[in-house]
Amino acid sequence: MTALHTCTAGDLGTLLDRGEVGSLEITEHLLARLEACEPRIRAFLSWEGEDARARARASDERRRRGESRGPLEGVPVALKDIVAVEGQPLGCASRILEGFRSPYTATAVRRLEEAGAVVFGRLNMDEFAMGSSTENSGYHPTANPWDNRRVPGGSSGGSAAAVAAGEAPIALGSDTGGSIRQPAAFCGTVGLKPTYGRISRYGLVAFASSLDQIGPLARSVEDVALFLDATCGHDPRDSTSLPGGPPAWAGRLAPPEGPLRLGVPREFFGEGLAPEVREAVEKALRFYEQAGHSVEEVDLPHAEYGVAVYYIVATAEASSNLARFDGIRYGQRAPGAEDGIDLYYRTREEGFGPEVVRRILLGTYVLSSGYYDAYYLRAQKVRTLVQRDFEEVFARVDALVSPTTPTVAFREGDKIDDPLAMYLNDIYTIPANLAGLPALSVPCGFSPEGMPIGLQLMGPVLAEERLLQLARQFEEGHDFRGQVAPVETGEGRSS
Amino acid sequence: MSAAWEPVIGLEVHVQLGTASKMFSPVPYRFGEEPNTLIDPVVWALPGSLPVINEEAVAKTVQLGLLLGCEIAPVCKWDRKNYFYPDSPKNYQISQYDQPVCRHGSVEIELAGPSRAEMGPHREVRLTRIHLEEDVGKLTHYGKDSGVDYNRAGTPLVEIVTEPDLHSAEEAYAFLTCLRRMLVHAGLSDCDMEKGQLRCDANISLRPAGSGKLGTKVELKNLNSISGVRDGIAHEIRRQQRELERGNALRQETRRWDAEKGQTREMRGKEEAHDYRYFPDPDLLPVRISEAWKAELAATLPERPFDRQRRYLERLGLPYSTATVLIGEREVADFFEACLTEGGDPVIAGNLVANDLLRERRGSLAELPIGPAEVAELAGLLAHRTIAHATARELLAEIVQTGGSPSALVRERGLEQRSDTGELEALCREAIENSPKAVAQYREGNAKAINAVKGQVMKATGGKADPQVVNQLLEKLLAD
Amino acid sequence: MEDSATARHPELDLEALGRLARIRLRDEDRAEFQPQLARILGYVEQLSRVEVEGVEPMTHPVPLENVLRPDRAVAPDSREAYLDNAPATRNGEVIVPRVIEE
Ligand SMILES: [Mg+2]
Ligand SMILES: [Zn+2]
Repeated sequence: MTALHTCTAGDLGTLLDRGEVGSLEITEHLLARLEACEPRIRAFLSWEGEDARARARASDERRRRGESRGPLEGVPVALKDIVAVEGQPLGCASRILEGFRSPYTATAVRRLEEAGAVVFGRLNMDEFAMGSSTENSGYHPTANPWDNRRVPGGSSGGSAAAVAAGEAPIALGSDTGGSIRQPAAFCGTVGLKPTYGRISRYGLVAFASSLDQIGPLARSVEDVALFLDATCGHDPRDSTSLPGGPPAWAGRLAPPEGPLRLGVPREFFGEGLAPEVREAVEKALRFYEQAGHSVEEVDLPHAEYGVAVYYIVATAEASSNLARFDGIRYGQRAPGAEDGIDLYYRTREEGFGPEVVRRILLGTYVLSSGYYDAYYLRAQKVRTLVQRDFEEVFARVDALVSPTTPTVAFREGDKIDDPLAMYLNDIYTIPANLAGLPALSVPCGFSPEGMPIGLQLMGPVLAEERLLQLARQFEEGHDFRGQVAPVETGEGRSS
Repeated sequence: MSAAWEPVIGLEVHVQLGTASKMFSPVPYRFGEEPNTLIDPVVWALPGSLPVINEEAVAKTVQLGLLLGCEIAPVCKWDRKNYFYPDSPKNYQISQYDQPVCRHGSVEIELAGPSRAEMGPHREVRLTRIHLEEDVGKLTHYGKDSGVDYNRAGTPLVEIVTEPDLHSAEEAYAFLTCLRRMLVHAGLSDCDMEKGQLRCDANISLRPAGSGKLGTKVELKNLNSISGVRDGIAHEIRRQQRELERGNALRQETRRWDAEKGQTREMRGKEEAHDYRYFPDPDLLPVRISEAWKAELAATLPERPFDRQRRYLERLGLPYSTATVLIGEREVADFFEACLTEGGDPVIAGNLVANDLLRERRGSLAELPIGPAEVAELAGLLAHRTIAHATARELLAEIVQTGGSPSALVRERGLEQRSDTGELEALCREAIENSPKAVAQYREGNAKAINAVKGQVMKATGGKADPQVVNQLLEKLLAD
Repeated sequence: MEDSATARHPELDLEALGRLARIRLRDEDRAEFQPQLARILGYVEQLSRVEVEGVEPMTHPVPLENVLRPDRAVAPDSREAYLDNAPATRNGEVIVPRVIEE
C-alpha cells in the first residue's frame, strides 16, 4: 500500500469500494506523504491532521453503514487557501487575513463534503490569486515538484504542486486568468476551468468577480470529471450561477462521437512560444488527426488584446473587491492608528504585498474619474469583441487546441521584478476567462530539461463534456495519466 | 425672508423599505436589537460572500415610482459606489448609478391654507430619480474610540432625489409630509423617523430673486425629524442670507444640522473631492421590469391620498378639515369608507370617525371592538335625530371599550332624544324664570345670552333634549 | 520604453491613488511602483487601436437577468464566530479607533 499517494481518485474509489483500504488509511498515508514532501515543496500553508482524520473516520463509518455518498466517498481533496470552510483558516496567502477563521463554508466545498470527500489543507497561492508563480504568497514560495528551482506556476501553484507531488489526488483551485491551467501545465497535471457560472462562487474569495471560477487539478481526466460532477450545478446564493443540476460526466468519458473539427488559433503560435512547447503541441495535433478529427487554422483577431483587457478589468474589480480588507471586522489590524481612517492606511500598507498593492492602484486608476472611459469602459468593449471572435470560431469548429503556456515552468526569481513579463505568461489562458468559456490543460509532453508541457483545449460555453472526452482520448493514447513527480522526500529545499 | 433672495432647495430622501429581509441577503432587519445580531456572511462582508437581490425591494420601488408618476426603467442595473468608512462593511455600497429603477415623476404637495379649515395651494415637486441601494451600519462615538453595529447594514433603501424645485423651508416640510404619507399609505415603509426609517439631506442655495442662475450650494445633512427639516433649512437659509448681505461669498460645503443647539455647523473638511469610482457590480445581473410585472404591481396600488381627499370633498361633500384628517392615515380612510358601505351618511360618519373615533383610539383601529357597522349605525341614529350628538359621542366611547350595538343600547337605556314639546316647554319656562339676567341681556339684543338658558334645559334633560327644538321653544317663549 | 510610457502618463499620481485606495505608500514604494505601473499602462495603450464604435461593453460573461430572491427572512447567524474574528470588540460592538465625524 505504499503507492497510495500515486493512486488517482478513481483508483482510490475502486480500492475503497472493494474494501481493500479505508479512508482513514488513505488519509494517514497522504498526511505522511505530505510530511515527507513539504520540506521541499511547501505546497501547503497549513493542514489540520486531526480534522482530516475525523472526516476520514466519518466517511469510513458511512461506508460501513452502507451510506456511501458517491464515487468521492472517502477520497481526500486538498483546498486552495481561497475557499471558505467553517472553522478553518481562510487567508488567500495574505498577511492581512492572518488568524482569520471562516464562520461559513463555500458552496463548492459543502458539495464536496456532501459527496463524501475528505477535504483538507490550505494550499499555497499567490496572494489573493494575483500572480503566475506563487512567489507572491505572503508566506513562502512553493517549489515545482519536477524541479525545485522552478516555480509551480500560479496562482494555484500550491494546488498543482500538491497534486504533482502525490500529496493529494485532487486539489481545488481557482482560475481568473489561467490560475488553474497554467500551474497544471507547469506541474504536469490536468486542470480545468469550467464555464463561468458552472460552479458557485459563493465562498470563493473574489479577486475579479466576472472572471473567477473554481475548478479542479488532478492526475487524471476522470478525477477532474469526478470533481465537476460533485461541484457543478445551480446555487441560489450566487447570482451569476447558471441554471441546471449537477452533471454526470465521469461515466461518459468515451471518445467523442464522430470526428470533431478542431481549430488551431493562429494567434497562439506567434512570437514568444518556446520551440519545445510548439513541438509538443504540434505532435498532439497530429495525434488528434490520426484519431480521425480534422484540424484547421482559425483566427481570433482580438486575442492579442486579451492581456491588456484583463489587466484593466481584473484590477478594477479587484480594487473594489479587496476594499473590505480593512482590519475592522476580521484579519490583521495595524497598531498605532491615530483614528479610524488612519487605521485603513496602516492596515492595508502592512497587510498587502507589493503585487496586490500594484494591482489595487492600477484598478483604482482605471476606474477613477476622467480615466474610466479610456480604460475600463474601452476594455469592456474590447472584451465583447474577444467574446465575439470565439462565437464566430465556434460556429465552425467544435473545440480549440493550443499550448497552455508559451514556455515551461520558469526559474524562481526570473520574472518577479518584471510584472509585465509575468503577466504575459497568461497570454493563452486569459481569453477563455474573458469570454467565460470552459478550458482545460492536459499534460502533453516534456521539455528536454524534463519539465512538463500542457495542451490547452477550449470549448464553447457549457462544452465541458466534449473537452473532457477529447482530453481523455489524448490521455488514453499517451502515458501521462497518474504521473507523480519524482520528489526527493525528507530533506530541505535545494535552491 | 427679504424679497432680495430666493432660496433654491433640492432634497435627497432615504427611506428604508418595509421588507421581511435585507436587500441582498435573507437576514431580517429590526430596529433596536442587540448589536451585531442581524448578520450573516453577506451583511458582514465576509470574504467570498455574494449578494442576491430581494425581489420585494425592487417591486416596492417600482410601486413607489408608479404612485409618483415616474418612468420605470425597462432594465435597471447595479453599480458599486466605492468609498471607505467603518460603517460600510464592504467599503463599497451597492447602488444604482446610471440606470435607476425610476426617473422623473413628481410629488404633489399642499402648502398651508389661509386657515386650518381651508385648503392651501397644491403643486407638483419634480423628481430627478429614485434608486434602490443598501443601508450602512451604525457608528457610536465614545471617548477615544467608536463602536460599529452592522445590524442596519444591508437594509433596502430607496433614495428619492428631487429637482431643485423647492423654495422655502415650509415647502420642504410639506414635501416630506406628503411623501411620507404616500409611502405609509402604500405600505412601502413605516417612515418612522425616530427609527431612522426616513432620512433627509438638503442642497440649499440662495440667488437674487428673479435671477436664473444658481448660487453656491451648501449640502445640509442630518435632517432627521420632520420638524428638523423645517427648522434646519430655515436656519441655513437665514445663515446664508446673513453672509450674503454682509457681502461674504459662500463656500460650497457640507454642514450638519444640530437640532439640540438649533444651528448648522461645518462638517470636517474632506481631504479630497469624492471620487466614488462607480462601476457595474459584476456580482449582480440587471433586472428587467416587464410591462406585465408593472401591471401586476400597479393593480395592488392604493388610491393616492390627495386623490382620496379630492373625492371626499367633491363627491361626498365633506368639510376640508374632516377630509384631511381622514386621509392622514390609510387605515382611517379605509375605515371611513367601510362605514359608507354600511350605509352611513358621509358627512355624519366622517365627523364621527375624524373627531370622535380618533380621540378614543389607542393603537390600530382593527383591534377595537367597534367596527364600521357600529359607526354607521350611530350615524344613522344621528341622521334620524333619534339621539343627541353628546349621546352618540358617549356611546362611541363606550363601544370602543366594551363593544355592543348602538341601537340596542339606546333602546335599553332610553337614550332617545327628547323632542316632546309639552314637557320641554315646561322645562323652558322654568329655565327662563330662573335666569332673569340672561333673559334681560337677550332682550337687550345679545343673542348669545340665550345659550345660558338653553344650557339649563339641556342639563335638566341629561343632554337628551333635541337642541334645535329647545332653541325654537326658547325663541318663541322669549318673543312673547 | 519606460521613459516614453512615463512621459505619456504624467497624470499617474500615486499619492492620490494611494489615498483613494486607502493604502499608505512610502517614498520608496512610489519610486518602485511608478515606472512599473507606467509600463503596464504603456502596454494597455494598445487598446486605443481597437475600433469599438457601437460595441456594447461586457459586464457579465453570462447572459442572465432577473436573478431575484423571494423576500423571506431566515434566522441570522450567531454573532460569536464573527466577533471572535474581530481585532477589537466591546459589548457586542466592533471597536475602531475614534472615527472623526465626516
Ligand atoms: Mg468600512
Ligand atoms: Zn444614497
